[in-house]
Amino acid sequence: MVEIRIFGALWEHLQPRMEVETGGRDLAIADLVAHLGIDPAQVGIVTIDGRQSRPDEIVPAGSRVCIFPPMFGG
Amino acid sequence: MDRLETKWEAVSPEYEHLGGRALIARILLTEVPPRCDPLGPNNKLIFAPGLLGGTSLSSSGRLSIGGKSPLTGGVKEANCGGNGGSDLARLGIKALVVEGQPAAGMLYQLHITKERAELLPAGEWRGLGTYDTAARAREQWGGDCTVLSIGQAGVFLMSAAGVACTGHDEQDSRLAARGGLGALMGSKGLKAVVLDAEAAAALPLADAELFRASARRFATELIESPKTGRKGAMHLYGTSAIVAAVNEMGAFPTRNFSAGSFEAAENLTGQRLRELTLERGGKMGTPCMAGCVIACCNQFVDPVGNPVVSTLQYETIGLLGSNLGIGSLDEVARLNRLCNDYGLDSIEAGAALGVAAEAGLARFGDEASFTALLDEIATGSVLGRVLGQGAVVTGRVLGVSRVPAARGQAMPAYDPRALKGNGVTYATSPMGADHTAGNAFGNRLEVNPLGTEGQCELSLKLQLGAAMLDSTGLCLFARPPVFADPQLTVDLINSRFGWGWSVADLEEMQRALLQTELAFNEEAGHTAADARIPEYMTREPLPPHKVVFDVPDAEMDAIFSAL
Repeated sequence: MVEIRIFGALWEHLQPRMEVETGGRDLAIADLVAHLGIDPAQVGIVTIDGRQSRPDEIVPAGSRVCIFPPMFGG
Repeated sequence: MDRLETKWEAVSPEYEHLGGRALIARILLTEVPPRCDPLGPNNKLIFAPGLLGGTSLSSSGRLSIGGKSPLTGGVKEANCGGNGGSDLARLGIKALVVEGQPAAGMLYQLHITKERAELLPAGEWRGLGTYDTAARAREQWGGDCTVLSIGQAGVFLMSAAGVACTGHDEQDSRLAARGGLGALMGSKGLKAVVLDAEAAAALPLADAELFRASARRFATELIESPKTGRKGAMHLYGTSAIVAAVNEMGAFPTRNFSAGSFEAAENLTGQRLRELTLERGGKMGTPCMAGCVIACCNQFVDPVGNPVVSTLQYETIGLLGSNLGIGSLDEVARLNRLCNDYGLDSIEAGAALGVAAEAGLARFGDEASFTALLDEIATGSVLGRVLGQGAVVTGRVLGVSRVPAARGQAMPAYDPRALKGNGVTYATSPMGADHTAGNAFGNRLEVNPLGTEGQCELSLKLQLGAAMLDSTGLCLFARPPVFADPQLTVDLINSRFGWGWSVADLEEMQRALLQTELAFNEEAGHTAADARIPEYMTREPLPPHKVVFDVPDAEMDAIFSAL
C-alpha cells in the first residue's frame, strides 16, 4: 500500500488523497503516475516521504508519495 | 537633495547598454565610494527600469531600486512589480538617481512628469503609512499617478524598510522590500516619488516587426507553459503554489527556522488561499503589471469580503506564518497589511519577529503578540527601532544566536539545510540571503536539494539567469521562454534598441553584472567570511530530514572563479 497525495491543478480529476495497492510489485514513480492517469507533462516535483525523487525511483511499500504540478519559486 | 535641485542628464556612453540591476551596479561602482556610510550623503538611491520596461512586452515592467545597502553593507538591488518600472521607462527616464542629503528632519516628495521634475515639501506626510501616503499623493496629483513611498520604518531609517509602489487596479502595494532601501530613501529625505506618465508617448522601437513577433512568441510560450499558463500553478495559486511542496520537502521555515515542516501548513497552501479568496469575493489570477499574461497576483479579503492585502505571497506566508507558528491565512494577511503599511520587508520583519519570539518577547502562534511588536516599529519606540533594524540586530540585542541570515540579511522562506542550492545563493550572492538572486526550488531533476553535489554549479547558473531578468525588467516568473532560448531576449533587446547584440553579448552582460557587484562588495570590505550560512545551521540538524548545511566552504569560495 502506498499513500498518494495530489496537489494543485492535478486535483481536477483526482481525489487529493488516496491509497494505491502495489500488490508487492516494484512500482516506479513514472508507473504510478501512469497508473493514476496523469499526463507526465503536468507533473512537477514528486516526493517520496518528503524527499524529491526521480521518475525511475521505486516507491517503497508503506511510503507517502506527493505529486505536485510544475512550478517554481518566485 | 542638499541643494533641492533636479536636473535631467543625457545617458553617458558607459551606461547606455545597461538597465535595471546592471545599471545600478555600474553606477554604484563608478560613482559611490564603496566604504561610504549607506545612510550618508555619499550614497546614491537609484530607480531604474529594465531594458525592456515601458514596452508592450508581457511581464517586463519590474522596477529596480538600488544603492549601498544599510542592511548588508554591500551592493543592493531590489525590484518590484506595479507600475513604477513601466512609467519611469515611458517617461524616457533610464535612471532616477537621488544624491546628497537635505537638512536634517526635512521630508520631500518628488513629482515627475514628461516635462519636469519638482521637489516639494512633504513634512505633513511624515507619520503616514504607505497606503495613506499613496492616497494623499493621488488626491493631489490624480488617481492615475504611480506612487513610490516609504512608511514609518523608512522615515525612522530602519534597515528592514522597503519602498512601496502602487500598481495595476487593486494591486496597491508592491514592495521593493529587501536590503533596507526604504531607510536609504528616508536618509535622502524623500517620502514619495510620484510618477505621472499619462502624457508619455509609446517608446520607439528599432524594428517594430521583430519586436512584435518576439513579444507575441514570448507571451504565447508563457500562456502555453504548464507552469505559467492558465491552468498552471503559478497563475492559479500565485507564489503560494509552492507552500505544500516546500513544507513536504522539509524546507518550510517554522518557528524561527527550528523545523522544516509546519503542522498547520495545510491551512496556508495555495489551494487554501484560492478557495478562501474566491468564496469570499476576492480576486485570484490578477496581474500586478498591465498586460502581464501570467497574472499570478491576488486580492486577499477578510471573511466579509473587505480587502486586506494585495498580494498575499509565498515568502510572507512563510516568514509571517509558519515562521511565527501562525497557521491562519487571515492572521498572516493582517500582519502582511501592517508590514506593507509601515513600509517593512515582510521577510526581514518576519525573521526579526521570529527571533524576538525565541527571546520570549512574543508567543509563537499568537498573532496579537506579533501585532504589538510591529506597532512598536511604527511608533519608533526603542524596542521598535531594534526590531526594525532586522533579524541580525534583533538577535544581537536580545541575545539570540539562532538568527537565520546571511550577509546581514534575513533568509527567505526556504531553509538552506533542506534546499542547499538556495543556501549557496544566500551565502554567495552579492545580494546576501535573497531567493530572487538564484532560486533552486523546482529544479526537480538536476540536483538533489538535500545533497551537496552540484549545488554551487546550480546556484551560479541561476544567479546568472537572475542577472538577466533583473536587468531587462522581466519578472522571475517569465523565465521559461527566455531561459529556454536566450536568442529570444536578444531579439527583444535588438528590436527595441537596434544594437545588434548576440547571445554572447547578453551572457557577457550577465557575467559583468555579477563581477561589478562582487567588486563593489570587495571594496566595501566584504570577505569570504561574509559568504557563509550561520554556524548553527551547520551544526543543528533540521527536522524532519535531520539535515545540516554542509556544502563545503571551499566550493562556495570558488563559485565565481569560472565567471
